[in-house]
Amino acid sequence: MEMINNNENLAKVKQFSEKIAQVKAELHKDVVGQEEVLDNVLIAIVAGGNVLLEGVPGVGKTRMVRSLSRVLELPFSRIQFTPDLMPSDVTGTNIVEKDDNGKLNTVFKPGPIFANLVLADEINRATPKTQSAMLEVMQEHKITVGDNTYKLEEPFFVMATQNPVEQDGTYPLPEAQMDRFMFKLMVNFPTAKELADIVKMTGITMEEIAQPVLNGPQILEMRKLAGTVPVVDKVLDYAVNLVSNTHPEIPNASETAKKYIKYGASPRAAQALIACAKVRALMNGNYNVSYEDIDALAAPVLRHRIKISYGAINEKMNAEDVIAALIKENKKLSKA
Amino acid sequence: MGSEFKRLKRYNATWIIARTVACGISAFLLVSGVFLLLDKLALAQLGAVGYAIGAVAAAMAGGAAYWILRKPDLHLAETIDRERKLRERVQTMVAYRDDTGAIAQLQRQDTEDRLKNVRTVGVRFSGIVTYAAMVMLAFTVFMTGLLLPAEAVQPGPTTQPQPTEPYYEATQWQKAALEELVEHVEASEMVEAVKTPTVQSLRELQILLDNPVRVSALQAKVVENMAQVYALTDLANSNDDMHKVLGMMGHEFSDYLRYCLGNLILDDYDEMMDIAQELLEQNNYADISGIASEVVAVLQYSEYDGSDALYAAVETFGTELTAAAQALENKNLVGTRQMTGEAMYNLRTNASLALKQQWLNKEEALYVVNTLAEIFSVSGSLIPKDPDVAYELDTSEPPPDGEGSQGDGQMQYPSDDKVYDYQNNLHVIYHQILDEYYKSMTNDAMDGKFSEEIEQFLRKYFGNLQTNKDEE
Repeated sequence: MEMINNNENLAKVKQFSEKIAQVKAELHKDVVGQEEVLDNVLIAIVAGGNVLLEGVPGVGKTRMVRSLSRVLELPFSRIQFTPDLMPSDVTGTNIVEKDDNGKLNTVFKPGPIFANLVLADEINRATPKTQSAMLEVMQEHKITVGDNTYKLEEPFFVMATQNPVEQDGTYPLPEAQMDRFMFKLMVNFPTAKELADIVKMTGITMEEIAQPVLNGPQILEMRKLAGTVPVVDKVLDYAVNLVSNTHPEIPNASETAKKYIKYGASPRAAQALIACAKVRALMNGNYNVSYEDIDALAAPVLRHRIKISYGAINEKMNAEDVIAALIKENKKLSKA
Repeated sequence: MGSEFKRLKRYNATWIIARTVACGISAFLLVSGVFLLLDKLALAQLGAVGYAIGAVAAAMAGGAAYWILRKPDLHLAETIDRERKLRERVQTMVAYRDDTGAIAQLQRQDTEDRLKNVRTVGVRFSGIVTYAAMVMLAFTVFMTGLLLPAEAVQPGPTTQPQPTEPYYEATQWQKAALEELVEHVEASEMVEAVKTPTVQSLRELQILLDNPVRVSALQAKVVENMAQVYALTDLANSNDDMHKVLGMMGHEFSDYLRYCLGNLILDDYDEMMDIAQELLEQNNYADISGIASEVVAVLQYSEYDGSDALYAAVETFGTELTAAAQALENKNLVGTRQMTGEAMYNLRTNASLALKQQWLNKEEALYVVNTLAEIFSVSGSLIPKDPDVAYELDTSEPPPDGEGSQGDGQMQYPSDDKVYDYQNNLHVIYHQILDEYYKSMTNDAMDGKFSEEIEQFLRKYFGNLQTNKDEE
């Protein structure tokens, strides 16, 4: 029995990267370019984390998520956040209904959050109250309405979007909510070639033609499988040191942190880093986590979790620049 | 653990052992080479001990190298990952060697497949060069110490063994002859001031012969004895008070008596003259006949006569003739004729005795020196010269003839090779007039002017002078 199970697992492992490749191929039918974003989104989904997409309007954020929901055969829900959006608009609310017998009953009407893949569009436009309604959902995958708690079906993901350009009427996400996002991915403006391809493609049809490749249970299985990818202690220490070095207030703080960071990342960053590194390794056909995996995922994991100081601003450094300096210093310290 | 990793582990172990051996060999060659060099430079002489120390150093160096180079499997895995850019695959494989999970199995298999292409690990060209250079350097030091000739190196005075000087082996004859010499000296009539130290020195020499003594040390002691007996004799002779007094007054007494007392009738005049002559020739003092002339003048024109005149003359020239005056007074040469005679007799006797003692001292000293030279075969060049007999040529200018003879009170001494001829009031080279003096002495002796003892003394004296002349 054990051998049979083992053989099944071996087959699943070998299928993992094939499946991911298929998913990417299907997604590229609807999404042009954004290779890195797609990779990281898939990593976050398999790892079970939420993703914050930041990009100017029209770069394909919503299309990407919609296409993803179709490829992964996950019930999709889109919430357009506006300043007047109420928490109950997100979570759902109890309403009073008359049954067939004419009796009035209180019935819970689930909100758009009840889906497997939720697109929270322009989340920074909602009020902090509405944003906080997302906190419990994103972290615990359940909703409490009144006296009742409703568990959301797994796998559950929140893909939020926001504009990088500050506009009037927006409410920056609080750090507590930002920490709930496993990744913050920058959806950049497509290149000229990519733009040309987009125009060509959408000139023919605006329909999304990607086909399902995976489903929810398969994703859960892949998540479970990725969790078994081995991480040697040195790599683990490397990841932990990277997160620790974002804190300027600790003893023996890194020079980069002391100079360029005001607030460091939370322990969730280290968890996210390892979990996602395992998925990435497996997606690339590797069977162990390496320093390269950690370095590749450092920016998506840390950019929204650290607050750069005026020293960095003064030197015209953004979060990516600071993270790159952190990686360089971490390599030197660990001699990786 | 996979076979490929084990293979690389064996390879690494071989490389570690090779480096360990290289360290050990280098240590042995270096340490032994250094000791060989020290041996050749005569700074240390360890011989085979140097090699033993080198072996110990080799063992210690090799052990330390192995201890440092030996690393756990994970370290080797890390080295392989870094050198071959295997993305921490080998480390993961080693860390999860016991994991039975599907991915862990796949990970091990995948790593093993990749390790098949890995042939070497941990071996760098720079490392090979470093170890090779280390061995070569140590080998060079060793060969330098081995091949360096000892003759090419100047030996240090403290470590180069000196040729062993043989010990002196005294024969029975030598010991007996030395004992005989000691007995001779003890029985001799040398003054105690010379006899006692000489006997002491000879006894010390006897003790030296009875103990192991190097040839050079013994020879030095013998020569020291010779020099000592000469020095003691010279000191003793010069310390003789009577000799000093008589010496000082010798010549002046001669003239003094000759010219001042010539007009006086003394029964012992001849004796006094003899004594004066002896003293003159023994001591060779400058003539102060000038003073005597003044005394003559005083006597001739003074109102005194006889001994009074003599005394007056003494008083007149008291400062110049203090010693003579003192001697005269001490010997009661003034006063009565009889007393003068007795004093002169005593003076003559004492002078004879003093002179005789001096001669005995010198004779015995010469005997001791010659006997020691004969016993121990001391070459002539090593034998000390008698300070009183042998002297060097004096190239200094003698005082002009006539100076010092006018009664100015200054004693004029001739140079070593000249004597003052008071007859003619000039300095002459004694070699030239030695024969004349000898002839004069001989004539006087034949005329019975000397006592038997004085004559014998004078003959020996002139005999030594003649010997010295022949040697020169």
